[in-house]
Amino acid sequence: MRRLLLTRLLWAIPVVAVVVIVNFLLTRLVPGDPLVAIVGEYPVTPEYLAEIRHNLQLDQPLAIQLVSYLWAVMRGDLGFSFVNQQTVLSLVLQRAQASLLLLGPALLLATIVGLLFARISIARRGSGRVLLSAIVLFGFSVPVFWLGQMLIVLFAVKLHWLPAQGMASMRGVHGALATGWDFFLHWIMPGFTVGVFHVAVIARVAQASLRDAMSQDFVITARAKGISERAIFWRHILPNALLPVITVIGYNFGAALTGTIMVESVFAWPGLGTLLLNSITNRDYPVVQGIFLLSGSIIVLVNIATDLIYGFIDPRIRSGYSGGR
Amino acid sequence: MAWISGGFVVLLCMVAVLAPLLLSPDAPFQISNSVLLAPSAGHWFGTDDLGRDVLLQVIWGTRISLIVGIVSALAAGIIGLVVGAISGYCGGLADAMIMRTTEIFQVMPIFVLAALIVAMAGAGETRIIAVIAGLSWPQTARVVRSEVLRIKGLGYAEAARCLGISEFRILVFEIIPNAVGPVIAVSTLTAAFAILLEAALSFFGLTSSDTISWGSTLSTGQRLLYTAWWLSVFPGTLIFLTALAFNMFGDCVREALDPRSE
Repeated sequence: MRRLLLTRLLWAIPVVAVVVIVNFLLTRLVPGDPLVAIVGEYPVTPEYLAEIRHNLQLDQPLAIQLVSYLWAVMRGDLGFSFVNQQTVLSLVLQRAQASLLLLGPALLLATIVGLLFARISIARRGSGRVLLSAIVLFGFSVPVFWLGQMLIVLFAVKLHWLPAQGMASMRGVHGALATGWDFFLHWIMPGFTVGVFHVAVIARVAQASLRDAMSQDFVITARAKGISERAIFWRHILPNALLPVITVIGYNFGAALTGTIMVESVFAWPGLGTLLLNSITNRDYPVVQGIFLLSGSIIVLVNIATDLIYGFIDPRIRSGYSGGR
Repeated sequence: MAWISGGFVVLLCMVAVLAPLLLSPDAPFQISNSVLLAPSAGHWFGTDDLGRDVLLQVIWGTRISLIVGIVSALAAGIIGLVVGAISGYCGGLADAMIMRTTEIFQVMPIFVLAALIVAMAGAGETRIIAVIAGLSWPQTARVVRSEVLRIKGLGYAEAARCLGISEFRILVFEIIPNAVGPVIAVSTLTAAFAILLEAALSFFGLTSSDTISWGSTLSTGQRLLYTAWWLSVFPGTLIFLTALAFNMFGDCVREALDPRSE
């Protein structure tokens, strides 16, 4: 287990390094001299320009600039957002909470619904296959931001059933229960929109893994022992079929976060996505970079966590034993 | 299924090609006093906040979406084919390096990175195509690599080797032509992905304001969601149907190539 943890952590280092270096190099992409952006059209003396250039280390070679950038990132200094009057780090961390609040329950529900669809599609062979491929095609093809818009038009603008935007009511509500209900009402539409892609991903993998687990010898053994079909499914088939599902959720976490980011901007959910949209509009680039850095790091962490959970659940992987079947 | 989805793509291509021949290039940009009209006989898809006809915008937008989708899928396919072939055929250090690189790409939040690049470097169709292709080739590379590894050990590759044909010729004339099927399947999926990504970028206001695409009309629709549903419904439906058609076609190709699916 320790070796697994170590190799995964070693794998994470180059990934995070690439994210940070890409982030640094992108600042060089912005057309024009950064000094022009600072002093603008104002006529300044060359000495003053040289002084700013020196203070900002712009006269240093690229490698030195990179090192001091890396050092700043390691200290958690991602810059300052003048638009939000806040450091970038505290801003993105704060918004990431709202994003995870949207994504977490959506992923959980999508897992359950995806497994359910997989189960149904196996039970009804012919029509089940059609249902499954319809779900998968829909999930992979629908632009989530558009799906969000359609839900708003239908359920908020036309029917007035659900609040269109935000994470909580403007008026504010009192009491824990009322706050929870208010959050839930705001969560339904964005949560559904985020979940659609994952239902597709999970249903497809779960169908294959359920079918695979069902044809294993231990199922025949269990049946021969006279265990009820229900108990066979819950105790023997499902736990074995869950492993690939967990993996696919973990490895698709990047897509999940990206989907959340797109959906948020439609529903004005106060998370990373809305922040990204606003920062792009305001040309608040340090924030955009911060979002990229943070989401990249979260994804890497989730990938490592996935491997560890996988190793924890399946002893074969933990001990490095890969033979058997 | 293959015929329906393929036919839809062909129809879209015809719209994209015929649009500049039948319409004047200014038509979709033509502003008028008839602002935010709901769909009617005069304006089938309604008009936007500047009085521009949404149907014309959608027709015109087909060009951008298809060009971005197809060209970036082609570019990603070619890059992936070359890189994957090198990785699979050479093996060793080159293979390990390339595979680690594709792994890094797989965990990156592609959309955020694309948004960052386009926001900083500036919009423009060529740039967007380059960004999408540059971020989506690893998928193809992985598929090509596994195909090359499989074919490399097959009888006819061995036979060619016995005939004394050079390794490079075997790779180019024996192995790659036989690996093309899965590449086509992956590339159609990449095209769908590229169309969705382009739409997302223009939805976020990252494409230049003087081009009209489905995503940019959707972006206007987001501002006017409460008053003008038609700005969102029609372009969005087309993005959805186009991505669906490419995905379906890709699935059909994959199934046709997979002997187990019978």
